Amino acid sequence: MTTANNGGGRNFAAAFAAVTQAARPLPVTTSRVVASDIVAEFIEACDSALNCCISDARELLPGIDIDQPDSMLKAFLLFLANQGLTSNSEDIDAELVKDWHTRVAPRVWLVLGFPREPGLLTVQLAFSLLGHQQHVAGDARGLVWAVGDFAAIGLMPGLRS
Amino acid sequence: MTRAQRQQARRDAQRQRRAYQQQLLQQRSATSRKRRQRTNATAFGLKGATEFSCDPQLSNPVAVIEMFRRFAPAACLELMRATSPDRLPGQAGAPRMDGSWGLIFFAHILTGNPDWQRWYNEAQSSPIWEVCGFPQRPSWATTYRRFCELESPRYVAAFEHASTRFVRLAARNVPHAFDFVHIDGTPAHSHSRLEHACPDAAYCASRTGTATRTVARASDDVVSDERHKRSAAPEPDNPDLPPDDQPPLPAPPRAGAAAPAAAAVAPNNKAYKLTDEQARDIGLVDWRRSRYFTFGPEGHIMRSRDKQVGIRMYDNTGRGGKKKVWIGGYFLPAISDYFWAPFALNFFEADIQEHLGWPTLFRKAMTAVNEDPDNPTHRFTGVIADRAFTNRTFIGFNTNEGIASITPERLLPGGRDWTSLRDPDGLWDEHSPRCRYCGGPSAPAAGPGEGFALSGTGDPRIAYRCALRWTDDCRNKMQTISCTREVRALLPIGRRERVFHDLLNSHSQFEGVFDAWRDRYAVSGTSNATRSKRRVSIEAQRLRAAAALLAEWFRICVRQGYIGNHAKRNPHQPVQRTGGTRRASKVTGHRSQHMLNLPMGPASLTLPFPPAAAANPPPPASPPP
Repeated sequence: MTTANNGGGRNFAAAFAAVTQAARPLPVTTSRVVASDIVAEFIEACDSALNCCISDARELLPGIDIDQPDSMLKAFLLFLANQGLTSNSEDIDAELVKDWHTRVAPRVWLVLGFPREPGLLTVQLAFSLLGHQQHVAGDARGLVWAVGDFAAIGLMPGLRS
Repeated sequence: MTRAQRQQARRDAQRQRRAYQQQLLQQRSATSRKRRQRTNATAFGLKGATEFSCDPQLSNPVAVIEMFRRFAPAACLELMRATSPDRLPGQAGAPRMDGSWGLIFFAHILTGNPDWQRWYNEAQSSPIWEVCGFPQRPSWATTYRRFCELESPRYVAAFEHASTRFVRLAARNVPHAFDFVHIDGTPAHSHSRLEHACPDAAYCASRTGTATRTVARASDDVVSDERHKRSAAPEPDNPDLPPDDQPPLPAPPRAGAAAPAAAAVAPNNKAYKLTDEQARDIGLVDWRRSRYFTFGPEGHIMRSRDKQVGIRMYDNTGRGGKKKVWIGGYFLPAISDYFWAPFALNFFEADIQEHLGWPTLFRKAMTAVNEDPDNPTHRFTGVIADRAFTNRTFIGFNTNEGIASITPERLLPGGRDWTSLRDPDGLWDEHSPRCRYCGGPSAPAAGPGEGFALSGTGDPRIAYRCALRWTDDCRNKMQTISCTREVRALLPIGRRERVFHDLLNSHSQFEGVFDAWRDRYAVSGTSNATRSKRRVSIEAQRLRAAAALLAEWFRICVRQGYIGNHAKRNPHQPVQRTGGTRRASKVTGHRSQHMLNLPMGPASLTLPFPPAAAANPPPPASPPP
């Protein structure tokens, strides 16, 4: 149906050679990663596990020069849980990290232990390095693998966003 | 067992323990000597390692930064952190915007634009800001402030440290790539001028000489000509003195006139650099930000608004010209002979002699190649330089470090010929050691234990055998001589060796590295188009050069395939350097002409003549019937 049939007046659409298209579906609303109870519990559990296996946080991520390595590792684990990914470097895409970074609420960064929200570039670079096992201390690798595997097979549905 | 037997057993055990320790020490010493010993060497060069212009990806700053993020995320993260200032919690001021200023400066260097503002204007709509993590393009004022901040030595060191990661990667892939190092200095001009700055009229009236408002800047050609003239002149008595304290070069004699005698330094032609205290005492108000000079002890005061500079005067008054000045510093890089790329840099003031920048550069070069420069895994075999470096200070330093100095011959102090280096006792000639038993020449190092090595006490020594093998001692004994007896003649790689001349011949090509760096990165600019417009020229140049070093070595590693999976690689293969045939044959001819291949000196005079070969051999006996 064209505008000419509706109103009986001039066919503006035809005049401007416009093509009437079906309405596009609205983009899926992306869910925010907020500091909900389940996220807070997850971060607390990761914190406890890291405290058990690592005594010095500076040795946690060898070869990654960042201010808060333990917070960055917890953020990485949360990223894996949210996205349902294994800790494989090939799965960690820069665009995926960018998308996740925009969805994380500022309060979550505070809960993770960052004094202020880390820059996107820093997070992208750190996550791409964390996909390689040599950049995680040997004692913490088991935790990273476990979280990645559980997330990938859907054992943490409450955290999936 | 009796008490005496027990004591004897204890003594035996102690003796055995001591003997074992002694044996271990000897083994370690022998291993160390073997590792540090050098008998021969070859040099290889690789073309095309820095030919980035043939690769559109490596010529595009945005693509290079993306590659840097993708191929070297750890280095990128480290650089970002090291070039970000630490902000304490609760510190006043708004938090800085996201994005790495270190990375954006790195991108700026890749464009080769010496002017920050022109680059900023051109990069208005470039995606480079987003690639470097900026949510939006910062203002020009912020960009200027942050770039100024990066000139601090702390951030310069961060760039240099980042580049060492890639230099070491290249060294791991080609262990012999850093055996031979070329060094040469080139001027880096400051943008400031030398202007008259006497504090008041009364002070000015009390000064001697003519008050000139400004002194013209010497062009690059004038500076180069002067440097080459000084190189061609005999080695100064004290090569370490500043150039203004050296006697002036004699003017070329006119036809029919006698050669002029070397004149003393005219006091009014010598520029004295005033210390901050002297400038303050005179009443020069801008002493914190400017550098003051006087022409002679009683001359007028001149000012450069660039504080960290040195000057060299060029006096053309004898030829009808005006005084000219070079304000700025020296850019002295250490260039890998294999890759044809600088891997360590040193900037220093223009009034310091060129070769005096080498010890600092040597330390930087060792740090660039080795994790621990005090216990190095890579050592340099030789350093190649031009005639200006042929002096006792430079060669002595290298020999004591176990490095061969490969420099051309030069007239010695007082105009003496190079042949005057020969030892009157016949222990060495101008090229190599000689046999102490017969006075003959030494044989090229070929067997075990022969050649140059640093002894356990750090003494540089050459172990050699006699080439003539005239006497029993000549045939059977290994001889050693300390290079410190005459460092210019007893070189770790002697002038009779082919590799010496192959490398020396290749040195002239390395001048092109300076041009390439001026074009690629605008480092060490000498003209208005290429020099940095910053007031603190040497610090600005240091930052540019450090970032350029990172850009150069990251791209070399990508192009050679040492890092990442970039499709376009360098197609060239390394080739052995073989350009020194003519130079080597000249040395052979010189030795034949001066009969250096025959015994000479007191040792040869005490020996009987060797049995001469019969001039007319006896006729063959008639065959038996």
